[in-house]
Amino acid sequence: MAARRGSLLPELWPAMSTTAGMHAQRAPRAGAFARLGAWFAQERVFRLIPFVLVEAMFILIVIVPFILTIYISLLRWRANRPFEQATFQGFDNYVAVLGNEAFWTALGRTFYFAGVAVTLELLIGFVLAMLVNRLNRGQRFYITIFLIPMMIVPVVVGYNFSMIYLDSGPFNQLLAPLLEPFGIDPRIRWLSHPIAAQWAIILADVWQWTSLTFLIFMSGFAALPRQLINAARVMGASRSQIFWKIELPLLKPAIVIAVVIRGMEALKMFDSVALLTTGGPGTSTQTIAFYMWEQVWVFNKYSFGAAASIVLLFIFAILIFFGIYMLVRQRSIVMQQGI
Amino acid sequence: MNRSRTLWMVAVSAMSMGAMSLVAGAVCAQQVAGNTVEDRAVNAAREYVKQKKLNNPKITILLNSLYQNAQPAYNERWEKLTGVRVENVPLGYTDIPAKVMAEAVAKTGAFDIFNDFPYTIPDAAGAGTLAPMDLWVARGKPDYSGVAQGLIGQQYFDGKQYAVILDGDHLILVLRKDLVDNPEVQKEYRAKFGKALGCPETMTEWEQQAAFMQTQKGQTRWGIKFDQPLYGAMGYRSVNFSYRHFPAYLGGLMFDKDMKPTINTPNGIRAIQQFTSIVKHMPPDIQGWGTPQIYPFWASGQAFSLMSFPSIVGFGHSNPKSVVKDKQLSCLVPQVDVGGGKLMRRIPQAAGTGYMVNKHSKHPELAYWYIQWLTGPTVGDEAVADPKGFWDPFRESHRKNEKIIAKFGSKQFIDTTLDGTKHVVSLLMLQGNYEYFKILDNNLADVMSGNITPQVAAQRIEKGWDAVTVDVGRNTQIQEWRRSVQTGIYIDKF
Amino acid sequence: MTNDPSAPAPSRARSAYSGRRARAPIVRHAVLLAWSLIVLFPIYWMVMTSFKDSGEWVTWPPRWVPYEPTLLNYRQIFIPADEARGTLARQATEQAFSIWKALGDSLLICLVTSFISLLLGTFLAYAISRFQVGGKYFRYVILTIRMVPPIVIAIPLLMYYAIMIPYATESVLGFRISLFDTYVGIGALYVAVTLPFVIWMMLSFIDEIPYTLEHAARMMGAGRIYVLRKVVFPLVASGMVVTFLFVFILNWAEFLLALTLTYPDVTTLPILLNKFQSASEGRLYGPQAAIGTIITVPVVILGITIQKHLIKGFSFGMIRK
Repeated sequence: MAARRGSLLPELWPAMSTTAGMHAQRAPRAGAFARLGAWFAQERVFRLIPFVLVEAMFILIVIVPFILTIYISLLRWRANRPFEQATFQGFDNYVAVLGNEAFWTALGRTFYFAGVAVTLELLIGFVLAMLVNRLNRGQRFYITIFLIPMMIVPVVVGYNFSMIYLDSGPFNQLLAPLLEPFGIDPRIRWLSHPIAAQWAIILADVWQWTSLTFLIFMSGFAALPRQLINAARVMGASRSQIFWKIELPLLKPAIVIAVVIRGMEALKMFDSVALLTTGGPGTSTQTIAFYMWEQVWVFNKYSFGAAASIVLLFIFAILIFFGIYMLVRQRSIVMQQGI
Repeated sequence: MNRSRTLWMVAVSAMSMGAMSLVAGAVCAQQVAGNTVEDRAVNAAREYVKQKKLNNPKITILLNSLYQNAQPAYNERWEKLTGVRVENVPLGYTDIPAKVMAEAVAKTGAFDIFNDFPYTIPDAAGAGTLAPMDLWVARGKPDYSGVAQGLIGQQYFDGKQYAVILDGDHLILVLRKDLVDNPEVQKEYRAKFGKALGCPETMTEWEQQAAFMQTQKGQTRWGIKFDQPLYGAMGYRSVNFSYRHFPAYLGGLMFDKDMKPTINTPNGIRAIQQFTSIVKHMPPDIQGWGTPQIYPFWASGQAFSLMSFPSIVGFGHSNPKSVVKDKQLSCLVPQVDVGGGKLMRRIPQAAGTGYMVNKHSKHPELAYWYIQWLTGPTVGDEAVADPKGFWDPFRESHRKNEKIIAKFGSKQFIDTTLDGTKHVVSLLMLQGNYEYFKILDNNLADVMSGNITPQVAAQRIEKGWDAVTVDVGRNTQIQEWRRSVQTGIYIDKF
Repeated sequence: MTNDPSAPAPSRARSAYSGRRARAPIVRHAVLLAWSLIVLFPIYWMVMTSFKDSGEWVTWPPRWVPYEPTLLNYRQIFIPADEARGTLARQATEQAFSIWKALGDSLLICLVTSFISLLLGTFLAYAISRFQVGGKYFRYVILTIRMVPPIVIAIPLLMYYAIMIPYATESVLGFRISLFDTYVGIGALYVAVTLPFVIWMMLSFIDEIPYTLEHAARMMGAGRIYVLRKVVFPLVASGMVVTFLFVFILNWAEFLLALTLTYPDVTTLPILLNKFQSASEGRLYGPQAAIGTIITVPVVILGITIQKHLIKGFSFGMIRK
């Protein structure tokens, strides 16, 4: 056995690599590992290995905690009592969540932020991608620059904007020549005025994530069939005709992807809120993620938070289903058309 | 419901029986030898290490990051004295309560000592993550003489001691001495109000002074040309800070005997009104400012008055860029008229920190001995005098401590802040207090933004507080509330 | 445009077109340059601030370049923990944090989890692409994991890591194992939440490889793994690199899960940066900017190197060439 162990690696590797692997099935080696390798290599097993692994991980990390959450959401447990003393109380937490004004306000606010931010991101990203796509030279240069924001850690973005938004910061300085002629005080309180703070969050989000929509649209534009467009042009179609009748319909998958991916991500908004305003002033920038974080990690309302998680998950499940449905439909259209 | 409550009562009574017997046992247990508090702590720690045969013992502090420059020196001294290594894990104070509560769930024992505000105690103790200190206190006999009840009372919750406080962070009002002493200013002020300009007696007077002193940029008043604006007042108005200041404006208990909030009364509305109306004399960004913005702003000389933590006087004195050095006049927090001309002076202990022991620590007793040593009258006073630290004076003996006076640069300040301890009230020591605080802060912020009136805010706060009370458990809250009021930490009684 | 007198005007339409053509690029470049400035401005500001001394962080008017450039901010974050703390502080009460521990932890976690995630994800993407494992809609089911807000799983995970696993291990194995604040705990999560992206990006690469190629190799008697290694992997190698780097960036940036499930034993860079920074706490702009620069620059360089492939990876298999 000891000798075997010494030759463990040489036995294993040939089975998986080099030409020896080609004959692994036909000439099974004595080594257990090689046989294992051969077993793995069978199609019916092989195709299931990653599937089983991934499924097992999801069950362990996602499904089991969820069952636990459902259990906790049925308890009466604020963390000012030990978990062992928590009592069962049924659906009271759900009633509390559903009847909680702050929960719904925060949820509505999140949709508002996401709606405004994603709309801006889509518009700007689309226009930028279109312009870059039409360039003959310098494409590389702009793409390089425009993609930078999405590579920056959101915490750094939050920190960075907190400095830029200072009332004596550079942003207000840049705005001053635009505002002063109208008699508006250029010292805008970006982070402590309820409405300005909301826009501060939205603008930071737009700054960072327009790069993603830009990227998606770029890949959309890159995939446009050149011959078709050129043919249309030769046949005398005007630029706007080409855009509205040919390019835009063909870009629909890209738009759907951008909306779904970006929309779902925007609804998670947490980092910038935590770093820029901590939900303030008052609750004017509290998103649903921040609201729940506060309920659990500041107020210690664990079972309430668990119930809120489940409620939120239901709401998101509908959205996710809808988003996925859109993706599936687009994909099947794309596949059928075979573009 | 009924049954669970019965079970709960049984559990509580069983636990209190257990605690009593433990305390009784402790009194019989031998006391630690040593003449001073510190000596006893050192001896006890040495004995503990020897008894348990510990090799390279180590304790870890979850440290308020404000203290991370000052604390290591004391850790090293303790290691020299006892051989016990002390390690700091600094964390921002807004994040510490969450970590403490996570520890209540996770029970990792990663920390031995928590360094945080006393307001964390109710929830943390309730969750069973803090170790009661009474046993060790009985043996080590610490000395809390000369400390006001409003401060000392915060060490206890539910009749047990959970913390030792080393910080008298009750609020103070600072005025610009150079302006107060300016005869031109005095002349104009007297002509207008028929009274000398000085420490304001009431909040109304303070606001009046603030309005009077408010000066635009470029104006010339009293023979002084103002290159930068002078704001009449400054204070803490951001979420997570408002609740620390509000009790000074309320001037009484936040709840009545049956946990009915007192906010939605004429006095409560008056308090909200006063708290929010002075904001118009403050820098426009004040709602977004915390200490890091407020301290330098004050030191830059752009405000006439500031209600803040006492360490501001030390900052204004020792910060190299400060232009207000030797120009600070310390005042007691002004009084408020709680109705019928009855004046009340209530100074909230807004941010004093203490040290608590993690129940899940491997060596809770060892952790306590370090705390006793650090907070003792000798070492503790050195800490308060430490120019690197944020510990503020709180003990009567600090009046005469030359080093502490030198640190803050003003005997007048030390006297004022120690006079203030007579009026010190604790913030709410109740389970769920962070939620009570947040509801208060959010609604005050809404009033300051002009979204709602003080009346509406009062109603909303009352409703929100009631909901928290119900959620935590009305009966237990009422019991806790009554007990804590009895101990005198809020001065006022029913 | 059309009545341009200088144009020889062989035909009206033609001149209008060329006039547009002459002007449009200028407008285009103006717009694109404007956005470039918007994109670069915060980064410029951060880099500049990292060289400013405390007096220059907040001034009116703000300073666009440091008047007295200093390296103090960088020295503060690179000093070894505990040692020399305070000697570099501008004031006695200033808090400096050493970056080393967080840098090491972040690198370790991101490299390992991205690698595992890539490996698992590639195999699964291959299986999905070739065998329709899990059914026709499995790829969408996987995507849902990515769409669930992390805050929703953060609460259950805390319970799970901190309560359930310790209890379970205690009763089964006799001692407590807690995944709370451990490399394994946070690492497993990072794998789980980035896996959907890996699968989707890899799918868009693998779907493009004609199956006939593999089929031919199989016909010739090549083993499954051999085919994978020799036929499939070389073709998707660049895609794998892109995916790895993209997932690395995702993990590098993750904040909420690290905030709730780690510290102090495991500390990632966003958490460290957050210690300098929370709206009600201290803001040491200089050292924060230095950390920001340190954690931004390498990732941006990485990103620039993969940007060409990113466009392909982000087609999500729907935009085909």
